[in-house]
Amino acid sequence: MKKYWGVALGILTAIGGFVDIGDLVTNAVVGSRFGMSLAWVVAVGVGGICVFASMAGRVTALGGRATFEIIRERLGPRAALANLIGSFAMTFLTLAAEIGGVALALQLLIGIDPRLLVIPVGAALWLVVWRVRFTVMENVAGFLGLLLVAFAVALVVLGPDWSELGRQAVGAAPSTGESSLTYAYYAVALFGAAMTPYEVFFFSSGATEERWDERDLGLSRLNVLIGFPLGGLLSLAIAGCAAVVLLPAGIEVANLSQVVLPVATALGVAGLVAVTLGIVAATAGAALETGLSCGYALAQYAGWPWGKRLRPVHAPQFHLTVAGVILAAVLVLLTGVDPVLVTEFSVVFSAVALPLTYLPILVVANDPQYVGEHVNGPVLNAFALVYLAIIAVAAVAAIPLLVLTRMGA
Amino acid sequence: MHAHHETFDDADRRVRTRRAAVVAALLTLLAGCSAAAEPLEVSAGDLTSSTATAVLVLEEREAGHLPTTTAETALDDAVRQVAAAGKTLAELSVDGEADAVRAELVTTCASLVLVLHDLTAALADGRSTRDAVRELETLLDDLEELERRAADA
Repeated sequence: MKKYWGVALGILTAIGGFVDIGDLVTNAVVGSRFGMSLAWVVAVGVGGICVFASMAGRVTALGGRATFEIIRERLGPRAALANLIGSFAMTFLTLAAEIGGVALALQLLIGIDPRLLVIPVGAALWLVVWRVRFTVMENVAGFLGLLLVAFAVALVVLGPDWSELGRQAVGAAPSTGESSLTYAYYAVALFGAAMTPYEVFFFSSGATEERWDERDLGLSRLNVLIGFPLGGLLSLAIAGCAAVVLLPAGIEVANLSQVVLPVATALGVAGLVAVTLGIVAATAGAALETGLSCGYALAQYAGWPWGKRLRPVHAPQFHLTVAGVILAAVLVLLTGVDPVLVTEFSVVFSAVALPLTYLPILVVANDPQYVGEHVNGPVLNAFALVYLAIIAVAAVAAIPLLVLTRMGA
Repeated sequence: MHAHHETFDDADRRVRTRRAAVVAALLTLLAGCSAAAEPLEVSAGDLTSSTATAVLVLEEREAGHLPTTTAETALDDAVRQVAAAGKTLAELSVDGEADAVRAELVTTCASLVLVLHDLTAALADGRSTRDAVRELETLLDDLEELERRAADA
């Protein structure tokens, strides 16, 4: 019974923890401008994160060490440094976006200016990192994040023309008034949001925090292969709500307050409060994951002791890095920069950094020195290579598309 | 020897010519592919979107689907977006029909800001917002027409 409970818990937290501010904003923007015509990108992105997260989980469970430690050992300090710089910068940008997302969501509930909220939010996150156990942190954020299911319930209650939504999804073409390049720009942004690099680093380091070994491989696979696709369905529900309510009204999402309007239309105040609490939990959980991921990446590269399970006195550089990046993200937000704009930048630049994250994982997952007989099979390698090609195209196209479309204007 | 030098020069020239042709073709492609809508069209779109948001927010508020804090936040966001679009439009330099559309958009934007401020005050005081919604719907019709003209200009 305990075993089944562990499996269910892992899957539920994986669903609740899948959606972050990047998924929320990008899916809502895309739904309000293109309907469901970019749903295929979410499916492709979820497939990619499943392929690489399962590899990272296997490498950690069998090697006993997190991905970044092995990458540095396997590829050498210079290649690992390029990986570190790209991933760290993107993860920091995502952290700032997540903290901004928490503040914006809280503003919807209590009406206080988000700039006044970022300092208490940052302090609360640091307290959680310092005082709360890893599993408690993960499970609470994941469970409360499940309130985002309100988007799926709202979509059903709105009673859309499902055949029309299906037609948009199958059509996979830009809607009237939108150019092909703008469509391509949002395809790359959505792909970057689904395959954010920190998710794999956190998954791998979290497995070390929870002391996974070979016996946990099955659980790891279930979390990834069931939890992440169900999280992807939540992303599609967010886009669907926007496509049903906002697109026909001529509303293009530019603020978080617009993202939740379809839920209010369908479910009233109770639904709105539930979904907003879900957003607070999902973005706070992602802020914790990104803050910790910055610490994991730097400490694992530098060879410092690391882990939330270690008290600050035993892993001082790790804990100082986490506290430092949270403080820096708060300072960035205090300049008055729009968190939604930070989010849009973070998902596009994530796409640029994707090859730095995913190529080394593929290399290590094929090395018997680290995973023994559990190296990738030919089918998994074929999938991974196809994904690497897609990742390379997205990485190369991201900046030119950003410039050409003036950020999707 | 001399013939070999000429061959190398020719090859070098050929590579340079080919490279220049590729760069020119890429630049032409980039110029031709510039997908972003012009600032006039983008600002008109922002004004329409903000107004439509305000209408939806007020309808949901009247229907009891939105708490006051959420409605006020959504209206504040709309006001900010309208103000940003208004600033862009005021500073925009365009000619002919585009300038005429720009001038009309600036005027509509000013009316919109006034209506949205009144609405925010009405929400804070707990007053009815039904009349203001009708006013917003009229402005929304005007903006949709101006957005079409901005796209054609």
